[in-house]
Amino acid sequence: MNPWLALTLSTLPGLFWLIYVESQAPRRSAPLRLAAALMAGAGSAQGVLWLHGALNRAGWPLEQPAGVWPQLLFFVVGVGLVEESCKLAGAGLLRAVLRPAVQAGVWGGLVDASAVALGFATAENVSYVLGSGKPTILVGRFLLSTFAHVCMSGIWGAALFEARRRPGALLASLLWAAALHGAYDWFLTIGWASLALLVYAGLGWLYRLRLQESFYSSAQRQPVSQRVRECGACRTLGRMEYRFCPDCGADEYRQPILCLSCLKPTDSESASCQACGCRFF
Amino acid sequence: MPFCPACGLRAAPGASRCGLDGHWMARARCRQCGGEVMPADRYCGWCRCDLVRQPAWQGPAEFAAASVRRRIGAAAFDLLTVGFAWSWLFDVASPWLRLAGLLLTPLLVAFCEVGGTGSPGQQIFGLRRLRADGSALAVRDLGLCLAAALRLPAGRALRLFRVQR
Repeated sequence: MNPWLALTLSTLPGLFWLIYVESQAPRRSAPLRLAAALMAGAGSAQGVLWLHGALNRAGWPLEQPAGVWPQLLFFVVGVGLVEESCKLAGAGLLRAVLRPAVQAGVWGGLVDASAVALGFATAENVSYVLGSGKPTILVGRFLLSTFAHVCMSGIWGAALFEARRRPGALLASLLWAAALHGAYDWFLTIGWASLALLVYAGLGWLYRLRLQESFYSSAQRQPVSQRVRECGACRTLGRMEYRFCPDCGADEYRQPILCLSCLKPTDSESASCQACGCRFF
Repeated sequence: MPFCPACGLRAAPGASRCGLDGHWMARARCRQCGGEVMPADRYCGWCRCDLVRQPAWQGPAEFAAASVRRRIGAAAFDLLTVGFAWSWLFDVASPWLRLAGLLLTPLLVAFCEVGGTGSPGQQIFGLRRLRADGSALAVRDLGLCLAAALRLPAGRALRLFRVQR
C-alpha cells in the first residue's frame, strides 16, 4: 500500500478525536502546540520501539508468555506501563519546551496528554495499515484503540498540572492507566471481547468526567455577568430591563446600571464590563 | 434568561444544561403579561403582577436546534458503532445478518435516548433528543423515539437539540 495514502487515512481517526476534544475546550488551544503534541506522541511511539530494542539487547526481551496470568502481567507491565510511560515522557518533554500558561490549569494537562495520545495512536495506525495492507482495520481502530489511548492518557493527563507539587498523584495515575491499558489488551487477547468493551466504556466515562471537571474548573473560561440596577426603595438588585423592582414592586427603578460581578457602573450597550472584563449575558 | 430549577444558576441565553449539576435549564414567565421573570422574583418586573399570589409559569428553556451536519455526523457514528460492534462481537458472516445488525441501530438509539444518556453519536456530537417543548423524555416515549430514528411522521413530536454549556 502507498505509504502516503496509509499516512493520510491513518491521520483521520486522530483528527476526528482531536476535534472532539477541542470542541469541549473552554478556550481553543494554539494550533502550533497541538501539532507539537501530535509530533511528541508519534515520537513516543518510536520511544516504545527503542525501549523494546534496548531491553532485547540487554537480554530482557519483552515477549508474550504462554500462561493466562503471566500474560496479564506482561500486558500491564510490558505493554501498558511501557506505552503510558513513553506517552508521559512525550507530554513532559512538550511541557518542558512549550511551557503551558498557568491559566491552562488541569485542562492544559488533559489536552496535552490527549494530543500526545492521538499522535501515538496515529503512529500505531500507520504501522498497522502498512503492516496488514488493509485500510479497513482503521474502522475498528478509530472506534476503539485510538480513543482508548486518549482515555488512558486522560487518567494521568489530569494530574500533569500539579505534577511538581504532587508527584505521587502523577505516579499513581500512571499506574492506574497502565493497569487499565493492560487489562483492556489482555481481555482482547484471551478473547473476552465483551469485558474489553466494558473496560473501554468505563475508560470513556472516566474521560468524559475528567473533561467536564477540567472545563468547569478552568480559569480560561470567560466569566459572564449580568447588567443590573438597584431599587431606590429596598436596595434590591434586579435585571436592567425591568421596569419595577422584582422584590418590592416599586417603580423607583431608575438607578445607574451596574455589573453584577463587580458592582461598578457600566452602560447598557457594551458587550462586556470595562472594569472587570466579564462578558454580559 | 435560562436558570437551573435545582440550584438557581443563571446562564446565557441558549444554554441547555446547568454547569454545576447538569440539570436541564428552565425559563419562567409572568402569567399576566408573558414577560420573562426569574424564579425568586416576588413581583413581575414588567407589569408588577404579584408572583406570590399568581406564580410564574415555569417551563423548559428554548434550546438551539441541532444543525444538519451534527445530525448526519451523529447518525453516521451510531451506524458505524453498531455495525462494527455487531460484526465484531458475534463474528457475523452472512450479509443478511449484517443488515439485520444495522437495522438494530434505531432501536438501540431509541433505548439510549429514553435512558437519558443519548446514543454514542449524540454524545460525541453534543445532541440530545427531547420533546418539542424541550421537556425530558420518559420510558413511554420509546415508540416516538423509534419513529424519530426511522424518520417516521410520528417522530416529529420529538426534536433533536444541541447541548450547550
